[in-house]
Amino acid sequence: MSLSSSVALSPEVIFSYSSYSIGPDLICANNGTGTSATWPAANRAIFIPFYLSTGSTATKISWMNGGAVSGNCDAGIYDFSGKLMISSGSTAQAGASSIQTVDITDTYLSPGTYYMALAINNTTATTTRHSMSTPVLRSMGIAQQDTAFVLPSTATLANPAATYIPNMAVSFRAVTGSP
Amino acid sequence: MSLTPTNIGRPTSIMVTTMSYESPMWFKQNMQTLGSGQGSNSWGTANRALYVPVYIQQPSLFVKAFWLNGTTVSGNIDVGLYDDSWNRIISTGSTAQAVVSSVQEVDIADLTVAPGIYYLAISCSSATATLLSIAAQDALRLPVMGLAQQATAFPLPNPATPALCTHLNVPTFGFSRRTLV
Repeated sequence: MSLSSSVALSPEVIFSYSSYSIGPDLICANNGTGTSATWPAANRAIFIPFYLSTGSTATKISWMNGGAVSGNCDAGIYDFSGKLMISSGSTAQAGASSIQTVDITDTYLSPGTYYMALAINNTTATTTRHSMSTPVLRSMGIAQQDTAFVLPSTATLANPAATYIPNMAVSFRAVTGSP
Repeated sequence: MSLTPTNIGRPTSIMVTTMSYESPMWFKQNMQTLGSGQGSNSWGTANRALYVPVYIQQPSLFVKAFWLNGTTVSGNIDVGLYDDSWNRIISTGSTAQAVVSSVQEVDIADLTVAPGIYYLAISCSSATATLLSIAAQDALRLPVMGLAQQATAFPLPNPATPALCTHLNVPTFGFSRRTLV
């Protein structure tokens, strides 16, 4: 008797540039690695789709700070219906030009479609971001919500108004000092 | 005893397009040498249809079709989905191209698709209409990725009769799993 199965395992860290997020679209659109730019609107949340083939436990969320830090950030995970699964809560932005990683309550996510979300409460803060026209962002499934700091328990998604995709990641492992 | 293998693939992208994970085009070097991105390109040949393969790994519900207009709009567009036997599953029907440099979406009857191989299809009635698209480096690239075309194919026919792809500009278009496009 021979048994076999084929299961596409989800990565342990899903970066927005991953094939389990919008990486294929970013590559096809020939976007670069991102540059530092100020957050487009105070209290705006930006939502980036990601996908899990297998159930996984989220442990951390990270984003890439730009050349200046300011105010507070809130990073979280939403399911496809817009329900907040977990968030960091308001966290002071710290560490210019570095990865900022926050521990979250370990949260099991079933296989499916999710959004990683980042909200910042001011427009002096910078992140490392991709810039493409808003129609291209829409074709990737990027969305936003204004007046969304801290991240709301239910997202009300709207089309992106700014050419801004922050680099961020969700981790499904425990490595000290790293996403 | 025989057991069917379980194949749990990556969930389908919210937007299944010519650029998304499901398309062979996303690996940029399939298309061209690195350095060129999307641009507004004219369709070039009136009533030509372009077929782009996509590989769906999990059951998916599509609720809208859409494409990205370029800097000039003209004539009519038809976007559809075909199975791997070239049967048309759904299409928007002839839709006037409207509003430059923006997403144009069309509501469709909700469509559940099973895992499998499909073709995204687009046809345009006007040679001068422009769409946001990626230009292949040469005519050899697209046929080997599985793209095909058909002349005199507006609106999209059922079934399709595909031919060698000589079309060079591949627009960004597809189907959405979400009502917000």
